[in-house]
Amino acid sequence: MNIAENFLATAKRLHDKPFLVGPDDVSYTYAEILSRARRFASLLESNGIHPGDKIILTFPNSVDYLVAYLGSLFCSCTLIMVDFRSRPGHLEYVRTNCGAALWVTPVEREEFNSIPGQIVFPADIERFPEMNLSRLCSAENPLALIMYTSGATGIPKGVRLTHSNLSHTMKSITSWAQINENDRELTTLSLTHLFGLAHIHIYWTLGGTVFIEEKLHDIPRLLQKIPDKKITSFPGTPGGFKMILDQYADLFKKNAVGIKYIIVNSAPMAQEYIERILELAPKTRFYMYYGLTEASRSSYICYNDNPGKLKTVGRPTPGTDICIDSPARPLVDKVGEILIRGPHVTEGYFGIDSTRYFNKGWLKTGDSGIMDQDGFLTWKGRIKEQINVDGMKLTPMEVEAVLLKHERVKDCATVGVPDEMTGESVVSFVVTDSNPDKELEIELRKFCKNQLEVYKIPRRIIFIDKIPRTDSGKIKRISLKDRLGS
Amino acid sequence: MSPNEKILLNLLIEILLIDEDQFKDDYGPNEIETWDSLASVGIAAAVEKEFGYAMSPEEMALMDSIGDIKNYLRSGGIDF
Repeated sequence: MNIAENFLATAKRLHDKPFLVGPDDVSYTYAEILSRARRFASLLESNGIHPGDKIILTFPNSVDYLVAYLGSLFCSCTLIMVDFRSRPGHLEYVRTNCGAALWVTPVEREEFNSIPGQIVFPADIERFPEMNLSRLCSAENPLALIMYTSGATGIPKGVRLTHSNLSHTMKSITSWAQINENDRELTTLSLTHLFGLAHIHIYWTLGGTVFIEEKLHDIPRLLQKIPDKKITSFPGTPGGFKMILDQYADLFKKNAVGIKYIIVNSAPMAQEYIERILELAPKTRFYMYYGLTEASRSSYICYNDNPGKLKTVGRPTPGTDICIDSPARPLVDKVGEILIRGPHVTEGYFGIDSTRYFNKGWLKTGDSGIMDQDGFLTWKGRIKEQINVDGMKLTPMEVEAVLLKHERVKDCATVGVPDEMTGESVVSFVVTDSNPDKELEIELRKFCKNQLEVYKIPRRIIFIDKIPRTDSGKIKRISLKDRLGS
Repeated sequence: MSPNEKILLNLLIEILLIDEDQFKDDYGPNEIETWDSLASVGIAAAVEKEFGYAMSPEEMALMDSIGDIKNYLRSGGIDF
């Protein structure tokens, strides 16, 4: 199977229906996108591309990007997405690591010119012929994507995802979020990451319409799009919703009335913000899910139905098994490593012996969590990120969740640094728009003291202009530790 | 409040995160939850830095209250 076959079926059924609306508000029907993607497939073929070849796409969110994505799948290629903001070094690393034949970009950029295999997406795609329909998706290549993980803690690894993995993920979301062909999604998510991309797969399978934005920018305009374009779905990240709620809560409340569902993922969301969304948009179904690139959408929760479980990321999605620490003796109500198995789980990393990442068919996620008696999972953080203060363990996220509640904290990150007395001590980095003085440091530590155990209170707070993050928004903790010389 | 008391207060606010109304001579680890052995080490280091009067962590560990710290500093010739 090939997930692009779903698009072909929908394009046949709903050819004149709008599929994509670009950031410039130009709308494209399923038939128009099909035509352009077939032309792109011809372009690939004219460049000597064969089924099974690997192609890198590095685009901002755009219609052309999805045309290139579909056209490459039509040729039964394996795709690797690289964030458009990535530096040349990262692109070159990915290219050589996976052995990509080509990399496609919307514009020529001088600093990338030394990297071989560049193709600029042609402005006049119409000059290429449409590849014959009977040839689309005709070759067998089970490997759909290689998604390179962020590399926040080391060298990026390529996660192998098959068409079958993606199909299971798609069916899972569709079943619990009850998405249908009448839905209209406004997405600001990066479509080079699986969160946003999986929604595109769903919409082209069901026949919905997606309004693409390059990013979460000019929030009042975006919020106005919701009633203007009759948007029914608005997925986002916790950071994005925090920004919306902090600055435009009234506008969100007014305009979110028509939204059928909100889905949040990528990072933990402070309970305060979950409650605010439920309060401001009470008729909107509010979902959170937990997953990794290696096992996307492994658990989910609808907060409207589970008001007592707001700190959790829900139960396993259909077809998924989750256990803590040991499949034979899973922990309940105790912290341990989250293990996952299911048809959506990767078979491993590209070019790496992946056996050590699995335990008898269960993916060892490297995340710590707790499964409660009701089967709800609470994510506690990355095991490697745990801080050990004199034998007492905490995760950076526990401290960050508290600090973010303080009105003068705009962003923050916490790390453990070596301490001769306690092994490690807690240090937090804070971004504030207030005067970053000693008084504020004490105020913030006191704020933590009122909500955290003593050993979790940051020993030091360091004010910085910006928290370093990866392209996917994960905190670069190693970079912060390096600042401290540890 | 004398100048040296003010210095000690600020030092304890920073390390123990106490409020000013907790700056009482009979307040110690039992009353101030953040006052653990680790905090004692921090207090000893800060006292030496601010008052120039060294206090070993072992001596600090014997301090049961803010009044004890003041008395220890008085014994070193520091007025309160």
